[in-house]
Amino acid sequence: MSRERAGSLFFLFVGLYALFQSIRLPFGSLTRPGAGFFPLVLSLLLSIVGVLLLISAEKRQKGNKIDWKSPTEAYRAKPLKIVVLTGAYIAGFEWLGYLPVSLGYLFLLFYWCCNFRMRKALILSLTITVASWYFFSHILGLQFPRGLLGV
Amino acid sequence: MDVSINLLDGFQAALTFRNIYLCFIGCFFGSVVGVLPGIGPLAGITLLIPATYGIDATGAIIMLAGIYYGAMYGGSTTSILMNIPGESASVVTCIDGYQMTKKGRGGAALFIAAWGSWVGGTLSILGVMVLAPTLANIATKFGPVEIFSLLLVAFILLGSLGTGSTLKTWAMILLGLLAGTVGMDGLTGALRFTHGIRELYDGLGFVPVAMGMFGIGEILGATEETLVRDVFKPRFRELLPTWQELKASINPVLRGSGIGFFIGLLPGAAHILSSLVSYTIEKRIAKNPEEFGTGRIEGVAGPETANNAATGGAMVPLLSLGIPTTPAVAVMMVALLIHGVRPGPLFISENPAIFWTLIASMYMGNVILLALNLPLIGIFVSLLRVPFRILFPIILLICLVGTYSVNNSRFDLIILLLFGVLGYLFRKWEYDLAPFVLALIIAPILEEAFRQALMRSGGAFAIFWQSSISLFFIVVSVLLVLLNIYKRWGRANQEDKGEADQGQGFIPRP
Repeated sequence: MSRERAGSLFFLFVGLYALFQSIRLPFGSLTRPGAGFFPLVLSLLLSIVGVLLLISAEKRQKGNKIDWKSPTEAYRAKPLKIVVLTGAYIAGFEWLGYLPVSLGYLFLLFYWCCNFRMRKALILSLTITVASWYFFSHILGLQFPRGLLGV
Repeated sequence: MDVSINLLDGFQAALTFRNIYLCFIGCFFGSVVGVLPGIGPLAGITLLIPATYGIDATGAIIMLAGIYYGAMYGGSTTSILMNIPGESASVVTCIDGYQMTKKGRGGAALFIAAWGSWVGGTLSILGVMVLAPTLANIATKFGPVEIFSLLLVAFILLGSLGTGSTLKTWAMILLGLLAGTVGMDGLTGALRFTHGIRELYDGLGFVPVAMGMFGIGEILGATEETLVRDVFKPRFRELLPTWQELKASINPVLRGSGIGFFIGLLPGAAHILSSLVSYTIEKRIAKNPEEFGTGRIEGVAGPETANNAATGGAMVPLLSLGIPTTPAVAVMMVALLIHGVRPGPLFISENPAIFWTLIASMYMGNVILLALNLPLIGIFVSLLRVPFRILFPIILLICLVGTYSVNNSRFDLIILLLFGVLGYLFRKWEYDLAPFVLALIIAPILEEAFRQALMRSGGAFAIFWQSSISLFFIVVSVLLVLLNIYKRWGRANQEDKGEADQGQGFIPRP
C-alpha cells in the first residue's frame, strides 16, 4: 500500500467513525447548538478531506510505497520492539513500582533493541534507573507508585 | 513612560536570587534539550512542569520560558558542529554552519549564532513589550464572534503556511479539532467519544498527546536510521570571529530579528518558517548567492537570529489573546493554567506583575544564555558524544515519567504510547504534526465561541459579518483561501507543463 493511500484511508476511516458517533449525539438547533453539532460538522469535513486525499493518492502515477522494512537488517523492527516494551512498562508500572519496572525496561531496551552485551546492558540500566529515581523523586519531587515490591 | 516604569518594576521583581536561579535552571536545561536531538523544547517544558508545583506562577513561567529560549540557542550547536539539527528550527543552520566547521570556523559560527540569537531575542522582547499590551487592549473588546473569526483566520494561516501540502495540513487540523471534542461537553455535559472510559471525561490530555507525537514518535522514527556522527570540538580561542565575519553578520542579524518576530506571531511552524525565510532573503540579496551552502556567515547569522526572535513573537498571541501558536507555547499555556493563571486579553491587566516580571526575566535569560552557551560549549559537545543508542532509552524514560507526573495517571501513559505510534505513522506518511496539536488545544475555545455566537444571534450566521472586526477577519480568511486556490492552480499548470514538483520530496530507500 502506498504512503499516500495509507494516510488518506486513515483520515477517511476516522472521519466516518466520528460521523457515526456524532449522529448519536444531540444535534440541537442553530439557535442552541447541541453537543453533536461541532463534531458532526468536523467529521463531515474530515471525511470529505479523506476522500480528496484518496483521490489525490490514486491520481499519482508512481505511488510512493512505504518501506516498512528499515534501511538495514540491524534496524529492522526496532520501532515495534520499542512499542512492545513500552506497552509492557505501562502495564507493569503501577503494579510493580518505578524501580523494578524501569530497570527491566531499560535492560531490555539496551539488550534487545540496542544490542548491547548483557553485562553492559545491566550496568547501564542499573545506573540510569537509580540516577533517574534520585533525580525525579528527590530533585524534582515527583511521586512514584511503590507497587507490589514496595520500592 | 508607563512602559519604562512597569519594566523597572519587573526588573526589581525578576532580579531576586530565587528568580535568577530559576531562570538559570530553565536556560541551562533548555540548552541541554536543544543540543540533544530527539528531545525538543516541548518535552523539556513538560518535564519541568512538575518541578514548578512548589513555586508560584511567576517563578514557574520564568523557568519554563528559559527552557523555550534555551532550546533555540542550544539547537544551533549540533547543527553547526555535527550537521544534525538539535531541534527542527535549526535545520537551516546546518547548511552553512557545518560547512564553516569543516573549514575550521565552527567556533566563529557558534559565536555569531549566539550573538545573533541574543540580539534577536532582545529585540523581540521589545516587540512583546509594545505589542502584547496593545493587542490585549484591543482583544478585551472581543466577544465570541470576534474570537471565532480570529481563530478561523489563524487556522487558515496555519493551513497556508504549513510545511507540507495544504490538504494534508487541513486533514491534521480537522483531526486535531475533532480530538479536542473528546470528553464532556462544557455547555451541556454530554459525553462525546468516551465509550464509557472515565479517564476520557476530561478529554485526551494535551501533554500525553504532544509528548507522544513529538517525543515517542520521533524516537521510533530515529531508531530506524543509523546516526554516524563526527563531532568537532572547537577550542575556546577559536570561538572569536574575525572582524569581517562580525561586520558581515550585522545586517543579517538585524533583518533576522524583524523577520523572526513577525513570523513568530503567526500560528504553525514559526521557528522553521522564520529561519527558512531569513535564509532565502539573505541568499537573494547577497552579492554572490552561489557561495551560500559553502560556509557563508550570513547563512548562520540570519536564520539563527530569526528563530530566536520568533520565540518572542510567539509569546505575543499567548499573553495577549490566550492563543498558543506553537506546540511548545501551548505547553506553557497548560503550565500557566495549572498554576491558576489564564493567558488572554485580561492577563496583562489582571496580572501586571507577572507580565512585567516575565518580560524582565526574558531579558535576563538572554544574557544568561549568551554567557552559558559559549564557555560551556565543551560540556555540550561531550553530551553529543554519547551514542544515540544510550540516549534514546533515557529520552523514552523521560517522556514516560514526564507524562505520568502531570496527573499520576496510567491512562495518560496509554494515550502517550498510542499517539506515539500515530506520530510515527504520520511521519512516515509525511503529515506535519504541529497543526494537529495546536488544533487540539484550541478546539474547545473555537467551539465555545461558535456556539455562543449562534445562541446570541438566534441561529443567524449574519452575526459573523455584522461585527466590523469579525468581518475584517472573515475577509482576510476568504482572501487567503483564494490565494491558496490560485497557488494550487498555478502549481497544477506547472506540473502539466512538466516542470518539477516543488512539494514534499520522497527519498527512495535502496
